[in-house]
Amino acid sequence: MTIWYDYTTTLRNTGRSGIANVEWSIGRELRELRPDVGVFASQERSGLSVLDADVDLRDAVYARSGDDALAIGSALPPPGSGLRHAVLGALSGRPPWVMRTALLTYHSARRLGTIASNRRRRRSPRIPARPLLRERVRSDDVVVSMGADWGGQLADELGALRAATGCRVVTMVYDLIPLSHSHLAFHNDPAFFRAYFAGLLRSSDLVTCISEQTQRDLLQFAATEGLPAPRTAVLRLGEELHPDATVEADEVAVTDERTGDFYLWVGTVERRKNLELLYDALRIIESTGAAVPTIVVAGSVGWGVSDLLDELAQQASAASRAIVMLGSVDDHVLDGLYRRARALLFPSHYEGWGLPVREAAVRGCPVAVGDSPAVREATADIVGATILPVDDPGPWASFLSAPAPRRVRAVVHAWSATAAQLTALVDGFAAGPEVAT
Amino acid sequence: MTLFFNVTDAVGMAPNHGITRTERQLAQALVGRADIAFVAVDGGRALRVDEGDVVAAIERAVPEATPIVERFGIDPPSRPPIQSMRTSLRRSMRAPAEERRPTQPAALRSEDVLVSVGLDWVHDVIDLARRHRYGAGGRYIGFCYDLIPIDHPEWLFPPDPDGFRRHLGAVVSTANRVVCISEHTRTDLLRHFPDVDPDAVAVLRLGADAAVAHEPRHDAFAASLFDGEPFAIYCATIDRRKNHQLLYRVVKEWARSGRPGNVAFVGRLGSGVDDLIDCLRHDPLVAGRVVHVTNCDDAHLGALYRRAAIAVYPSLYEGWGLGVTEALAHATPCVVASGSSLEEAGLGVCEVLHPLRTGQWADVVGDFLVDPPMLAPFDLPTWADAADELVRLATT
Repeated sequence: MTIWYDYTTTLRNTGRSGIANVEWSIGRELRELRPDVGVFASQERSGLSVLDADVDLRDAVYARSGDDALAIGSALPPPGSGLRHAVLGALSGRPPWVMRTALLTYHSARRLGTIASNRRRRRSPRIPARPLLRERVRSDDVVVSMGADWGGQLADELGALRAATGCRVVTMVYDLIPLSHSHLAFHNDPAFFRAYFAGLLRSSDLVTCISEQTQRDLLQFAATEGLPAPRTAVLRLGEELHPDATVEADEVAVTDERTGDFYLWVGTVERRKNLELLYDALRIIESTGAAVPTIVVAGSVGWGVSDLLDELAQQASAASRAIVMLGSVDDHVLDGLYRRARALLFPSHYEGWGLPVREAAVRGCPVAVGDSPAVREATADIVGATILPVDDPGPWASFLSAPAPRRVRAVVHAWSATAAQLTALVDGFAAGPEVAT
Repeated sequence: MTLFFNVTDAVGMAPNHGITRTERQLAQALVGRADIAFVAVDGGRALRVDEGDVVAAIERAVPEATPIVERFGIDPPSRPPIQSMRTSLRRSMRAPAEERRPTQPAALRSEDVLVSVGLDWVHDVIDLARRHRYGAGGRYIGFCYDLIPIDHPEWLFPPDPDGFRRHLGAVVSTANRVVCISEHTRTDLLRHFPDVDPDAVAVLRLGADAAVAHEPRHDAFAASLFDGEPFAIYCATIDRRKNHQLLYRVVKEWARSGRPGNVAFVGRLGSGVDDLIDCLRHDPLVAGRVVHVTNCDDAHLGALYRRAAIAVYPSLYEGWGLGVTEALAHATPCVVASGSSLEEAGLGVCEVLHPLRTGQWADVVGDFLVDPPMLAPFDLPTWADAADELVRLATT
């Protein structure tokens, strides 16, 4: 039996993303564990194709080190600053219709730019023609795909491969937020995502989920849609960063002397992540006349937060000036931020898991998290984690006004353990019985 | 001596809210009084406006309307009131030309007073005021609603703090007296212009009269809003500064904790709230519990106030709080935000909460929806009172 591991998401992403990171990290450890693992990716013209790992993965963003490779996106100014600021300044005092027309033109141009950029990103990697996967896969092989292709093409291809070869297919679901919280998802199109998840279930022999909450959400989805209950298993994600910034498994804390004078936010700045709550917490502190603490935001700018970013860009209040937007950072910088931050702030409305919380905690960084099911799960073994409401900035203001919290303790779950668990699940196919449902 | 009251905005086509509403209410209260004349400013010139044209223009500005209701999460997004725009256009086409565009110059003499309470940074009022005060030796009374464009440019679209500062600088250096609409605004003004003589800066308390028209259909509309369930009302343009975000969070808290409670937003859609409106339209947690009422005339608004268990005003900053006193005028208890002039507008009878502390609002407003508080006695200022005081401040 051969395991075939999918790198489609890694190769399609020119920048860093959470899912690509998971795919890359599991793949790396899986190939260490089982050197005979074959690798493949979906290509635009030929479909699922066998890769030469040494050649084709060499240029993947996670395979490279150095800021130029890992900090893609950090140079981009957030919407609401820069050009937009200049436009607004130039338009001040002009008649309203001139301003409206100019802003409309500006927004349209920005939207077109985003669409073009997304199209470029979704383009398949420039890899020379490779053997087709279906020509290599045998019926007792297991094909593992940990990435995500919202278009559904990958799921269709995996389903066709399974039908053609009789192999087993293992996939991954990170969350069902586009269905359960559509207002928090970029593509507010529940019908589209219902079709995607249904297609994924049809193509899979086993669906791994990154948390028990995601597993519950997936089973609930299947029940609601009248689909057969899929075989599922929870696959616990690893928590190390880039190999050069990896914490040792038994390393749990750094000393208080290294604590910096800032709080930390990690993640894409998008509506679901709820940065506005922290801004409001800072405004509460500002309204009392107290010093406003700094929050360093490590993450690129996403969607659904234009109004907030426009306000922050004015830098008109102590609260807005206290939010420092770093853009996306490489793992070395992120490691240092975790180690020096007074605490990680993670007020997200809803998550499939809560990787930044784990990454922070295993470095001893105190964590204050929004109260949502999967994040509670992620913090279950973190001694000293603070759980706060996701819609009330008041308790967050109290947390930010209090003395620096004590460093927390949590045990690292290594990516190698994730790969080992995945291998055990795959081996379970050979044994025959149900893995989990 | 004649008091020339600038009605440039009042006789224009601007919607009837905020500054324009104030100018219209004061103009209406001044109609028929001795020694009062009305002018419009065009190109820095004062043009005479007849009383009859002022009355007609104000009546035109507050037509009967059919409210448009969008129940967020249930109804499709509400469209602009096309019919209403057509009606307005037709009305303006029908209006005699001389009503819409005054042409006769007004002769301001040295003993006369020019009072301007409108959007003076849009019109050339300052040029006129300078010529009247310094050229003719007359008096000019300037007005200050708030200093939000300077202190909070983040809530202006687009921001222009320098332009507004220049305008206010010109007002305080030209006016014999500057009238602020609250003590809070007066404090802000003196903070930004410490060279101004504090005795030359007065406070005028704006009026609040309840809508008189009252028919069963208005009450039926108000009762239908949440199928008879109690609701809180927030009457304000949906703007970033007005902090509707807080009420969205409150309703989510209610939903999570299984508490009943609904909120009606009354007012047009403003700026900086695209993300909020998108959430309200698609968040299943609050579906049907928040409605947006636009194109609402005074009679329907009055009915909504009477029906509402409580009025709320969580705005992050206000120069006064006309919506608060109007709620009180309808005997509707009100919860207001701390941090600006809303406590003043609450006349000492409103619960005051921090505008960003969701938990406090969820608890207090949630409790009031079930058991509305009794309003303590208060002294409600009317527009007639406000006009009297304005005349006194202008002439003494």
